[in-house]
Amino acid sequence: MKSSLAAKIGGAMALIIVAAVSTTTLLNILRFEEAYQDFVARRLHVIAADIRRDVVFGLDLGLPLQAMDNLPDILARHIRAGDIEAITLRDCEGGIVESAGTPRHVGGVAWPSRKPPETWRRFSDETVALGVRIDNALGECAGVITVDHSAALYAAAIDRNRLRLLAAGAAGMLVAIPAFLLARRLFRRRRAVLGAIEANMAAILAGAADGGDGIDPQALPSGDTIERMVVEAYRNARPAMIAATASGKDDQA
Amino acid sequence: MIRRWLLDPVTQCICITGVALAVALSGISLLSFHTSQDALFGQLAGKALIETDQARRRIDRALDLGIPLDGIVGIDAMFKGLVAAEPDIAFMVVSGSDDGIVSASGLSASEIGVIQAAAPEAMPEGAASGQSLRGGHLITRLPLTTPSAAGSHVAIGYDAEALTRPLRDSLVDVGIILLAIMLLSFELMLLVLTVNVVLPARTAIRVLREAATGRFSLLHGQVMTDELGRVLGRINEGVRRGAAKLGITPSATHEPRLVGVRLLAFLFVCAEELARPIMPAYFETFITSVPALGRETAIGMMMGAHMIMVALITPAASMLYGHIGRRHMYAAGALIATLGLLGTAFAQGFWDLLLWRTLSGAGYAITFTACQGFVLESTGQANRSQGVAMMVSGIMLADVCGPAIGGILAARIGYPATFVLGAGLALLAVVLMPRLMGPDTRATADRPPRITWSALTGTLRSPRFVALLLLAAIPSKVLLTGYLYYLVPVALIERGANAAEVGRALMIYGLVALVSGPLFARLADARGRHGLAVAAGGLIAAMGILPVAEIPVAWVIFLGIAALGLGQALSISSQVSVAIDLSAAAINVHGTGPVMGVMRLMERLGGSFGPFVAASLAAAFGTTTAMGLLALYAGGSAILFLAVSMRAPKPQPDAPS
Repeated sequence: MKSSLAAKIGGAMALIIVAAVSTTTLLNILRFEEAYQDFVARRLHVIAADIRRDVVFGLDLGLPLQAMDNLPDILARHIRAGDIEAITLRDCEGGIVESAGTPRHVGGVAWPSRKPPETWRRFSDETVALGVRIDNALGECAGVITVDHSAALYAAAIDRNRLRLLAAGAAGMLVAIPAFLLARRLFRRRRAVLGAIEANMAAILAGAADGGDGIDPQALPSGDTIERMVVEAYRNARPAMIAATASGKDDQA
Repeated sequence: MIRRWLLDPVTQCICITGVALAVALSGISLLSFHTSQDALFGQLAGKALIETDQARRRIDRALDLGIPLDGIVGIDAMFKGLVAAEPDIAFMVVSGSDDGIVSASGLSASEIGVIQAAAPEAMPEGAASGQSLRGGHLITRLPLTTPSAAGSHVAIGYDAEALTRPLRDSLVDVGIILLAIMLLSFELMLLVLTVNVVLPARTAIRVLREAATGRFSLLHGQVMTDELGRVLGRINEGVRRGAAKLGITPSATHEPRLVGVRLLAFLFVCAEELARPIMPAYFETFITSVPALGRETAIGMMMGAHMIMVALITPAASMLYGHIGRRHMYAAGALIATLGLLGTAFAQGFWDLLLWRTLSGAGYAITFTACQGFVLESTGQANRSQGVAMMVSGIMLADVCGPAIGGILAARIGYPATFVLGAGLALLAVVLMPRLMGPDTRATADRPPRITWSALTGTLRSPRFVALLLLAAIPSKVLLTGYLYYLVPVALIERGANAAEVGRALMIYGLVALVSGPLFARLADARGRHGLAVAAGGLIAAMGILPVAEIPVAWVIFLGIAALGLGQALSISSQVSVAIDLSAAAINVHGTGPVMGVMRLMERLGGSFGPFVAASLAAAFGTTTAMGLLALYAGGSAILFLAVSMRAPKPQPDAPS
């Protein structure tokens, strides 16, 4: 099967460009997802910390969680934001004390551990949530606030941006086309030189060599390139080749 | 010279690839920067709204208690509390019903006035009413709700940098990736062009020159189906006819694919270097299973195990080389490294991790020896330095690209997956080896140097050679393994850096050494002051690292890394010349190879204690003081070596030292 030098080199070049653009696009997507997750978590933390401040104020006055009448108002304050699905105040065992919106994990399904950590976050396909522990004045666990972000909206934002970044990556890959064409153009002149040598050599082998070597001087690249060296070596070897093939023909005759 | 370089097809292809990559990668990264910024804006705006609302409620509460707006105290304290939780908050301002500023925190009232008076900039989606982008700040302005303060407002200004910072890091990553990919594409284009154009053309020239003399004894041995292949087919036909007339059988010939050693060396070093930035941190996760060893001892032991294996297995592999051949040896080494890296990724405890690291070290040493043998077999005296330089450039490239790319990947895919990727790279080396290495040529006498007992004792009999080992070669290796491989990642992680940032820092060493190495080698050869160059290299590295003990900040650590790269580039090439000068007697008896083998063995053994020493010093005095102590050791050794080398008589050619 015949192949072309220009296609080989251009193909390798295009492949390198596509691989580099793919890697960069992947890194851009991963970086965005990491940054977006961090921004969402920081916002959820601000909400949880704001509620904690009010709850701790009540605890400091000696009120148990269950006796705080203003809890529904405190929790509902942040539900106004469209992407916050639920804000829940739980006791330290995971039982719900008060909630606004629709808590996704009633019954302690999303409970992180027996002893709640000071803060935690959970980002998965089903859950985008952050929890903050409330300590009383003695430093003991008094409750936990969990803020649930809409997982669907979170996923939609990630998907929307991922699509844009993939489109940008695909557009970037188009650069491989002019690079490929340029490489082909670069090797076209070399192809002309090689084609001339091949035709000339075929004529010698057929015993039909005329006086010239058939190489267009205009097609030769300038400078001391490898092609010039091949052409020079060919020109030097040509008389011996003609002599060898002519003798061969005489012998056969 | 420049014209010839510009007309070279390799240069032209690399320029095209470089320009195309620069355009594509910078374009998509800028686009990504802007689209991601827009997506993040909504979250930042939402957060700013909550924080401003908090401030408003607290001020309203004070107003409800009857405190007048200009009489409220503690607004500054409240602002400090907000900044403590969110450092990107630049200012908070409370303004009265006449828009006059009642209280300003963070910036002066006049500065805030200028920002608020600036023309509003276009905002992405997600902003609430009362939010605007002005003067490089996201301003959230909410009215106070207490009737006594009707018309008054509280506003919080976020530095717009908050949006760009996480993405700017991404641009730095892209810059690193761009650089690494440019270097890699250079390697790949060089390989493709050399194999498909340069080597067949060189063979064709050889065949044609032979034919021109009427000998017709050589045929082109490379089978190709492209234009060049078709020309070569015709030439071969002409040669066959000429040979038939002479009654001889021409033999096939081709150029050795020495260029393949670059990629082979790159692959086996990069497989290990990918995980370099995360090694201390990853190994630390296993130390709980060996509480008796202590954190530093355990990590130092783990890192040293790999290096000891490299030191010990290299001479053993050299002895087996003649029996096994380079292809089998490279394949075996790369497979062992694959197994070692996979085992490292999935290790269950400290002791099995130690086993996997030693396997990894053994694989590294075996592949290194196979590459060394490939260079020796494929070159003669005339082009040996060129061959060695080709292998070294592959290794240096891996030193640059491996930690940088590995760090970025590790920060995203995790530590074990980075080792798995390294294993994949080692496996890729096995797959590519048959094409890159060519068939074994067992007839040649040039083999990797074998260290014999007599060579070892003969070499170590020269006190000045021992001085070179103890005062230059070993200290520079200890500095490399102790400072760069152990202390730098630990110190940077202590300062909050992630794996990507550690990788970028380690990359500085490779870059500086890659750029300055050939320059220093030429300079030292031209001046002939190799002893001075060795001492100066040690001193430069030591002086560059020493300030870290007093100024323990990241940029001083980076300076230390650059100084280490510079110092090692200056010192290492000259160490070889000094070693040859100092061990002339041993070389006369055993040859250069075994003597240099002894030097490499001793310096590698010494270097394997680097992480252990560094870890022990760090445990006793802290990480940055340990850096300073290592620098003092290296600097002191360099001064002593200078004194020893100045007292040495000038070496006479072929005379025993």
